[in-house]
Amino acid sequence: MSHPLAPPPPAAGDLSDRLVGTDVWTDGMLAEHGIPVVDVPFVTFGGGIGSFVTTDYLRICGVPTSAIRVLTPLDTPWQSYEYLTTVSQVPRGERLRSDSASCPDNIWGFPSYALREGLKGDLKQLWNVLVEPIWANYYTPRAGHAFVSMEAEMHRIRYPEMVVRGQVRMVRRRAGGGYFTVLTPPQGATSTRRIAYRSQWVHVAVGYPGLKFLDDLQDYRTLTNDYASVVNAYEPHEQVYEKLRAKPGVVLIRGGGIVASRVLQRLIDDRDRLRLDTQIVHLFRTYTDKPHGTGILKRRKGADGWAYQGFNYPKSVWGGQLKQQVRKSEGPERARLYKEMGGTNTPIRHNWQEQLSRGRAQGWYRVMVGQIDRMTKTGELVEVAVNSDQGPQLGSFDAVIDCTGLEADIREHRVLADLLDHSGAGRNPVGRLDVERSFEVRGTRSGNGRIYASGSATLGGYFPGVDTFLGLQIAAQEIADDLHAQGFGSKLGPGRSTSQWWKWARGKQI
Amino acid sequence: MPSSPLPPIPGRPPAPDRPVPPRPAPASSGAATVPAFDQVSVAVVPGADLVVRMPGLLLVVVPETTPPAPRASAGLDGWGRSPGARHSGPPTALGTGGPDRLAELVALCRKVSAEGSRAPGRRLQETLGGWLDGQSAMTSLAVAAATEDGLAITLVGSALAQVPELGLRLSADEGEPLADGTPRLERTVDWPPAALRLSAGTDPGGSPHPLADLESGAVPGGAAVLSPVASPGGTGAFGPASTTAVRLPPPGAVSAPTDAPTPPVVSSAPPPRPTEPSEPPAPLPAPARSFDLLAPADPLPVAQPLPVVSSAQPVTPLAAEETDDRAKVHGFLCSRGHLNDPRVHFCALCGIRMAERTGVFLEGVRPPLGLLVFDNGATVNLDADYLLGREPDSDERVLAGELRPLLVVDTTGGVSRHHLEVRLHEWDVLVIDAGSANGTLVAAAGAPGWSSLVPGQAVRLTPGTAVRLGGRQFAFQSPHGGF
Amino acid sequence: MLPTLNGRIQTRVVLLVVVGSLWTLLVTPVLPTGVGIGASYAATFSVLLVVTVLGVLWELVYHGIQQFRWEKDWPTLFGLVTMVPEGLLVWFLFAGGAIPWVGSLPGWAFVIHFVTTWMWVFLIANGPMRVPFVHWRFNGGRLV
Repeated sequence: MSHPLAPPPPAAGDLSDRLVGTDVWTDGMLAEHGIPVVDVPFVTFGGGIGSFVTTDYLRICGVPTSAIRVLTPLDTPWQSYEYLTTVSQVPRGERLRSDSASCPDNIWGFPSYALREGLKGDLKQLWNVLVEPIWANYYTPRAGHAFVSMEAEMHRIRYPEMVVRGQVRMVRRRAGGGYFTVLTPPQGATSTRRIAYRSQWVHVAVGYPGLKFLDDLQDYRTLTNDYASVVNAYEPHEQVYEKLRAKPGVVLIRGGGIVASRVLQRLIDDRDRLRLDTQIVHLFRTYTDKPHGTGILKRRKGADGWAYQGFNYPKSVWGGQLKQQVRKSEGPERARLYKEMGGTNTPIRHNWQEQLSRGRAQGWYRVMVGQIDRMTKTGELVEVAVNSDQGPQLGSFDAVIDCTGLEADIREHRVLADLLDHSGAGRNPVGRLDVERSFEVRGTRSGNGRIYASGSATLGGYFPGVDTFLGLQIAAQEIADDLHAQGFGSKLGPGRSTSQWWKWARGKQI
Repeated sequence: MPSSPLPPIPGRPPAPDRPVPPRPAPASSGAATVPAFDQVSVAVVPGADLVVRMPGLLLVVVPETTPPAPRASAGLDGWGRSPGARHSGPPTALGTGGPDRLAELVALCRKVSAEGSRAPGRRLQETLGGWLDGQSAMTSLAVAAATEDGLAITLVGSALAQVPELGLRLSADEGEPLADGTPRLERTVDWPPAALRLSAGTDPGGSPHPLADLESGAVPGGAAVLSPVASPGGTGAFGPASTTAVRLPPPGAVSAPTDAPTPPVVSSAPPPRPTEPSEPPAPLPAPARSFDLLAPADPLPVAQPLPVVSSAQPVTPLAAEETDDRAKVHGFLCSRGHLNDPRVHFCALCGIRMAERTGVFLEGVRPPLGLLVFDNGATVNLDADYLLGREPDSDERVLAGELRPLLVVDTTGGVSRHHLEVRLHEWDVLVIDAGSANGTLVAAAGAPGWSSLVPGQAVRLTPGTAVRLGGRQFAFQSPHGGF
Repeated sequence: MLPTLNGRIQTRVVLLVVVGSLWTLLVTPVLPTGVGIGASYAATFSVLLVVTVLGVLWELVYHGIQQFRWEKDWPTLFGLVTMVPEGLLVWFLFAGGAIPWVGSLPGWAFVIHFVTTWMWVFLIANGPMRVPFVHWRFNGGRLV
């Protein structure tokens, strides 16, 4: 090392500035700092569905629980996900926007959720998957179904045995190969402030760094101290519905994505069920009134402002033609493909389509195109100035529900920023963490060790659908294959795959 | 480009040059304009001043000049002498603004009325205030404009706002005068339960004709009387609860209040009495936040008029002033520096994941912890401790400033004078029954039934908890997530 | 199922060869062919062979159609209804004598054999196939 760590750190078992400033650590440095070191071959942190699915895959490949540690602040792998789906109006009883064969509890996707519902007697769902998407909307599983089945799988693979509670502070390369993952356990849980996990492989599954509510929303809150009238759809906003139940009001919905469709559905469900008089104004930034695209072979459906798409990408990015196409693309070409396939879109669902057309006909659902200039509080109302395509307009609303929200930059996540600054990680053409086709984080290799990443932080790589159940499973497969090539875990060939599936089907613990 | 023409934002009244349509039926689906304000009748008392009514506001003003003199009538033989050619001196106080100033004032009102949709009151007060600041030797005027739950009144000069039945009287002398010393008062008040009489100059006295009713427009008059109830055909009683169309529950649902948490509209509304046409079909309880009518603005517990918000103004004086008093609390900072409840996973202000930082307790100003949504739609932002009751002002802790009073009006008489405390403790919201006569019931979200509070014992509210006192009910909601 | 062209062809060939052959072996003796067991097997395996060979050509057509779909997918149901044109084409070839080494094939025997074989392939491709071949669905239906 260029500068030896001369003075001992002040606090026992804590990081020092000098340690933080050093890119590659030796075993001796940690010993000097009094940070205990735990050896384990494979560490995954984040602890959400990404960690869970990857661990599941490796366990099925025969990796023992002693070889894996999951470092997480979460109580269950679906905790964050369930929070976000619940507040964005998909509680357990509602259906997700996810494919029938995307089962985080089952790496084979068989039996699919629809088949399982069919086997329990709901033959309508089986018929639905047969005729979708031509004569029916895509089947989607209930959120609760996904969580309950994940819980069963969690116990089957003895996941809790692998979990270590705490917050990961950073990952650093180790001189001589492998990595140190620094964990901050809950206060009082350990005698030292930090613990380091020394492993050959590290899997980063921290999900998206977080939402970034739009600046105008934040400004409104800071200036007025009113957190209740202008809300983002990804935070608890039950007060809006509560207020509308008590008193008729006008709501402004902003955004044309999947969450907007779900929030609209909730508003109109309440309106119908409780016979409310809710008025809805829907603000689109871009208004799609007809099929659109860059050519006759790339025409996406659209109408009434919405761009329609069954899932967040065209379905074949998960295994078909578009997956192959993106896998071969690089640089700006890939960025272009992402732009073409993604963008704001939402699946057609007959139920809310019917609701909206009723609203249009009866005049309580109205559409505007434009952008919000400013929001001010006037009494109990929010006055919104809109720069619309028909010129500036002003309206007063009981509530504004922002269904847009930006995803934060990966640098806003401390561990990802640390990877960028100290471990050689870089950004992909879309600006997120650059990963190889095997989901190895490019540029971070350390001796015989490798860092993998999956989930939303890697969006923009060779595989587009990373931030979905199926995408996490695809990543897990690539990672497990790559690990197997390095001698970790067994190959999941037809024989092992079938016997493991049979264990799954019988619910046999592994 | 969307092919269909886009609708205006709801609440935008018709363009000013078009005739104002007849008042909307109160139960119409669109709560577009302020129904109560625009549904009540305004009777004009004869006089020499000008009475102007437009959606959401009523203006009485002393005209500054007579209309401009007609042009010389030289070419019109036989019509006699031009009436106002020479002897048309200014009859009343003449300002320096000239004859255009009145037109300017009316145009300003019209603009705010057109933009301000349902409740232009506060906006008008701000706009008008700014305009008045630039005037000197201003003529007398009185404006009453609808706010979401009351009236915004501005009085200048010798203007008066009175509720003769209740003996209430506001004059411009009580407020902050204009730069040149002209008296001026700006006040937000509750809807008076009796007729409100506005006058600008000398009130000629006397009652208006019983059938007099100005729906819209500008007419000469000495005073304007704003009726306390909706005009015939309207259904609403006075008060904010009736300012918006009230949905009746489905036929089967109209029954005695049940014990289960039901939609507030149903549970708080006594059954309709169709036999009495004068009674509103669905009498709703009076607003939760009813302040003393025409009381001084300072002690208003909530909804103080906010300063004009502009991006160039980083911190409003109000906020800065309060910063010192506001309670401090320990919490985690998100990576963008916002203080949060240690238990949440996402920042309540910006949405970033809280897992970005390893927990370090910091002390900072506590953000609002949520809000109470009352059964009539009124909301109370929880940034202080409250005492709820029929006469909360009389409590010594309220007088000492320890608790903010929150008046809960209940027609069933089930709310005690000092009924319930809502206290903020760290990041929790607690309710404590203050020894009420009829008790307080709470039901957490998803709870099978109501449970009774033990007087003096604090219970923590979780988001979605319903609380019932007497015939009134509110729900607690919080942007800080459910724990 | 969202396979690539290559994957679709591979999957079709493998499933017809493995599943189709097994099923043909089992079902041929009970088919109302009206001829001896040897001739029946010759006829049914000929059908299987023709379906497989023509199938490769059909896949090219389907691939072309798929390009007009935004999702670039092939809905599950399409996998079932394509049975009709493919079956008709094969039947016309046999009935018209284009397959010289097969003497006669009664209509009912053909229908039962063709439809049941197709159903087996369809059902296995849409689920159980993923059990032994866990990589298959993510590889666009390619097995190699």
